[in-house]
Amino acid sequence: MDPTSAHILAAGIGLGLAATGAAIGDGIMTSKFLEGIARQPEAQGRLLTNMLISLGLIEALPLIVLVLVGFVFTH
Amino acid sequence: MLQGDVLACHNSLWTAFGLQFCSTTLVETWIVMALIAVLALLAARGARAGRPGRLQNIFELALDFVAGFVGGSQEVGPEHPARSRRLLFEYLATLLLFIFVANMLDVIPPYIAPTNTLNTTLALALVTFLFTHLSGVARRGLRYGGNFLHSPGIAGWVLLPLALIEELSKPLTLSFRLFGNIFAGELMLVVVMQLIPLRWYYFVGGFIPHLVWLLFSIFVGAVQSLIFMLLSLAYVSQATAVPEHH
Repeated sequence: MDPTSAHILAAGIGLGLAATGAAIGDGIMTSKFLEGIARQPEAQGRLLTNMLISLGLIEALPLIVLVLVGFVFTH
Repeated sequence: MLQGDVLACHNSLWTAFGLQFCSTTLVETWIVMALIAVLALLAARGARAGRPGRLQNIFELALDFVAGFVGGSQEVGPEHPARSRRLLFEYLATLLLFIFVANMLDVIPPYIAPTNTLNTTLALALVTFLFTHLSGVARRGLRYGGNFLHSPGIAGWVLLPLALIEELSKPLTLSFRLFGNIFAGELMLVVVMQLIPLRWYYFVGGFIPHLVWLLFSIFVGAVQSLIFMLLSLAYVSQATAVPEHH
């Protein structure tokens, strides 16, 4: 397998894993958020703020993977 | 191994004072600065105490938002000296306003966001890095080095390299988070616009999905500016935390 194909294959696998990680993390976080709203509906505002903050933080690592794999380790 | 260059500038380079500037990024940054300055001046000129004007209301909303975090943060509390609290508040408010307006500028077609390159975001993250350590040293003097010994006794010294790596990773993730979000958003926009390149059915092709993605980009830009500000606050709070005396 020549280097270019190996690079492209690695990029694809890396991006796929990053997307999977982001999706699972966001899913767990949102499910906990919904449980929290179901227990105490008046806390929705505060829970939403914290959820959005956590969303940005959790999505950071898959995005770093995207930037590195997509644009640094390939041509 | 590293084929691409994340710091590359795809537009013309200007050279001044022996340094190179990326023209698009620099001009966009000036536009953001001019926008904030003009709006702030207009808001301050028409400021009334009893019945605030609309622009003044918007600015007060943003500044009260930041002040709530600075005042409510546990390590940055009432016992923190008032002048350094004020400085922290001003720095965070500037960070929030700049990154928010810079990310929003991405939505208007001829303009791009100055934060879509690692140059800008790394600069912001390094300023935060300097601010945290200088705040820590100003607050605790030379004992600030003790902040990195997280465990008591010999374990703290053994784990010191890990603590230093963690300190170095903070500006790195800060810059890459903002850069990745905005750059990936712009790239997705270009990809979505090319979805179905039909001429007649232009509105059926990539046009409507691109509008949807633009809405999401606005949301992501706002959230990322908030996160940058909150993380900067958290890092400064950690650096200026004085250990309780037993």
